[in-house]
Amino acid sequence: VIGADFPALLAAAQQGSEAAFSQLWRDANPALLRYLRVTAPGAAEDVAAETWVQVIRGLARFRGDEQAWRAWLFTTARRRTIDEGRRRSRRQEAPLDEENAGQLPAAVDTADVAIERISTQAALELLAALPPLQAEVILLRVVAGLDTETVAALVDRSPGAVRVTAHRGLRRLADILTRRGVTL
Amino acid sequence: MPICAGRGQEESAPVPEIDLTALLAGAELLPDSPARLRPVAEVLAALRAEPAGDELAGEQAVLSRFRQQAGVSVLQRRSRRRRPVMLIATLAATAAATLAVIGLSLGAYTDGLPGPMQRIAHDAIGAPAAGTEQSVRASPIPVPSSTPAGPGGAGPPGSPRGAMGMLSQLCASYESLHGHAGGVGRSAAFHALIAAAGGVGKIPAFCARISHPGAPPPAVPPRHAPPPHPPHKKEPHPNANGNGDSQGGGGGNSQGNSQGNPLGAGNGNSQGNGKGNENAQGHGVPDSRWVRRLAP
Repeated sequence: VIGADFPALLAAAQQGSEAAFSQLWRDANPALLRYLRVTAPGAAEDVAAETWVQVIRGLARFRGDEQAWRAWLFTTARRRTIDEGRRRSRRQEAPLDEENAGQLPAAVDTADVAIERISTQAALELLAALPPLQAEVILLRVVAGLDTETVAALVDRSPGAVRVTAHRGLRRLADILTRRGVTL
Repeated sequence: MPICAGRGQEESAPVPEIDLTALLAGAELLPDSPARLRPVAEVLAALRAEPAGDELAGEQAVLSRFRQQAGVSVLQRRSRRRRPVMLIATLAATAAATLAVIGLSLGAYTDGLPGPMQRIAHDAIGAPAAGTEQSVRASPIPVPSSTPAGPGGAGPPGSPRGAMGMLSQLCASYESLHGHAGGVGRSAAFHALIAAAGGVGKIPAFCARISHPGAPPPAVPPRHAPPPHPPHKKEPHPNANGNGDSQGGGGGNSQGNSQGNPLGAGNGNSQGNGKGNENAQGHGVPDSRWVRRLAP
C-alpha cells in the first residue's frame, strides 16, 4: 500500500513516468500474484502478465484513489482468470461456487505450518484448501487490502454476504489448523 | 454472541465476530481471543508478508511494455489531434487535382481547346492533335517533354507530375493568348489554371513561379527553377496543403503502429532509452525510431 504518495505516483505514471509506474507495480504485483496463485493455480504468472498489459493499456484513462486502483487491478485480474479458466476448461470456470464448501480441504502438510513463521507459500496452500469463494474473499480483504464493500462489488455479492463468507473461511481455517494440531 | 464455526465440524467452537473482523483488518488479536485463532493470525500475517524475490521478477518485461504503451499513447494523441485537419487537407487536395485533370482532359479529348492548348494536351496526355504530330513537335512552343528535366515531362497522365506539367504548359498557352485573355475564363482547361493560381489575376505571378516553358528553356533553368513540389502544393489549397502533406506521413505511421502493436502482446525487449518521446514531434526520423522500438 502506497498511501499519501499515491495520487502523485499515479499522475506521474499516467504521464509516462517509468519510475512512477515501477513503484505502482512493485507495490501491487506481489499481492496480485498471491491472489492468482490461489484463484488461478498454474497460470498465476500468465494471468498477472495479461492483467498488467490491460492495466497499462487503460492507465491513462483511470481515475480514482488507491482503493479504486487496487479494485481495478484485481477486477481485471479476476476477469482474466475467468477467461483463462474458460480457455483451459479448468476449475476456475466457476470460481465462486460456494456449494463446493462441503468438499474436504486438500491435505496440508502439518510440518509446513507448524513452524513459528509459516511461509507465504504455505499460507497460500492453506487458503487454497478453503472453498473457492471463501479463499477469494479472504485474499481480497487481506492480500489485496480491499474493504468489504469493494470486495462485494468485485465478486458481485452483497457486503453482508462477503462478511459472512470471510468469517466462515477464517473459522474453517482455524478448524483446519486445529485439526492438524497446529498451535502457537 | 457465539456463532457455530464451520458447518457441522467437530471443532466447532464459538469464535467472536469481533476477532474475525480484527483478523481481516490486520489488527492484533486481543489477549482474551480464542487461542485457536492464533495460528490463523499467523497465516494471515504470512499472506501479508514482504514480497519474496520471485514476486518482483517480471519487472523489466512489464516496464518494457509500459514504454511501448507510453509511446503508442503519445502517437495516438497526436494523430487524433491531427486527423481532422489531415483528412480535410487530403480530401481538398485530391478533389482539386482531380477536377483539374478532368477539366483538362475533357477539353482536350473533345478537341475543344484553343490550338496551342490542344497541342500541349496532345503531347501530355495523348489527346487528339490539333494539327499533325510533326507540327506539335515543331511547334513554336517548346514542349517540355523534349527536355527530361522539364516539369511534367516525366509524369504519366493524371499523376501529380503530369498535372503539374500540364499547369506549366497551360501557363505557356496563357502567355501565348495573352492578347485576348477574355477567352481564358471560358475555357475549361484554363479553369484549372485559374483554380491553381487562385484567380485570373494571379495567373501571371503563379506562372512565373512554376517556370513555364514559354521562355527559351536552356537545360538548367527547369532544374533550377522551383522543382515539382512547391507548385504542386500550391495547386489545390495553398493554405491547408502544406499541413496535409507533412502530417499525412506522421499520422499514417502512428496509426499503423498503434494497431499492429497489441497483437504482438508479448514483452518485447526494451530497446533504446526511455527518452526521446519528446523528440517525436518531428515528421520523418522519429517515426522510424518508433517503428523500431515497437517492433516485437
